[in-house]
Amino acid sequence: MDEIKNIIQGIMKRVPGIKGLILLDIDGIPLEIAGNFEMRAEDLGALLAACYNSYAQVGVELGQNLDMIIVEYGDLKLCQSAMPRGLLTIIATKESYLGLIRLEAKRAIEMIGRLMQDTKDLRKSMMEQHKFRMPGDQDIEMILAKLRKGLT
Amino acid sequence: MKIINNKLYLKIIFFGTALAGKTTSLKWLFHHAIPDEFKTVDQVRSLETSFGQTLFFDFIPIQVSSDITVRLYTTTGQDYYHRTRRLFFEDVDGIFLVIDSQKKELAHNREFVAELGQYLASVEALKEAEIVVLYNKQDRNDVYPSEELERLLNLDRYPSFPVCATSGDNLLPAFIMMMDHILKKIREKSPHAISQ
Repeated sequence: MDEIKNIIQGIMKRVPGIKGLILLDIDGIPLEIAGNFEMRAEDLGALLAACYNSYAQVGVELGQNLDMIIVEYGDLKLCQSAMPRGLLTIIATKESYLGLIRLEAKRAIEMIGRLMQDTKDLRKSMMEQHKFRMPGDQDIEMILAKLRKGLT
Repeated sequence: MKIINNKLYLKIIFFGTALAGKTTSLKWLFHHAIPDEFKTVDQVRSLETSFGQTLFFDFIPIQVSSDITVRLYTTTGQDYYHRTRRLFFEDVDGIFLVIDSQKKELAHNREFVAELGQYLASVEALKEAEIVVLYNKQDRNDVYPSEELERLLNLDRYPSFPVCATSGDNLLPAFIMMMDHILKKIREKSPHAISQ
């Protein structure tokens, strides 16, 4: 994931007026974030994924693939691009160059898309090597015991 | 189930007809049953229409342990938003099927049970999902008892609870059952799991 972090930090340095960048899993789960957002990343991710998926569905109805969403707010621009199993959102000030943002987004999703495929394999391998700890019986019982307290 | 940045993410959705009590159930659980130590937000996140019904979804993330986050969603029940609903069935671990027990809602319930059947048949990951049925509004007049609804809707293969979302009756036992089933399923599927 360090390589993805480097790609994102690179965009943060290169694009004038950039406010932040958020890389999401297709479900809206934050993978990498740069910049400061007032909203919690989990919430922002859920909203961004819902927006993207809705426009993607409109595209399905129109017989079109969705490549990118550009949104212009009062003082901000937002550019959202998809890759297999992920979404990249760049947020920048209204003075930022849209062309540059689009170019950076396009380059980034190509590179990140490849890396995310690699990390999928890496996760599988980590689980097989016990490096990722799945919940055990004791963990599960502890979670359920905390929930059961509400029954009394 | 997803594993991202060494954390496990589970997804549970509430599915059912418009005004069946999906959001009310989610809000009751959040405000009355989910322990404060699990909460990572102070309120249910909602995208609503101007008249207060769910537009896309309601959403809460809860962190049940340092490395497990459960994401709870409701889907919109309005027919004219049905195209947005399928999106939420990807990577789902658990489904609360919320049935409005009022007799006048039987036809609507049948439509939603049929829609769920279509998703179960077409979304591969859903075949592994846990389903718990909530027969809501059992406190009202002119409702079918849960046993009769189970027969009328052909839902006897799923565990179920007669519930009242406004008072919260039986919601926590249903939630505990859902979590128990999902977590144990993950445990069984993971031969390398190790306890602390």
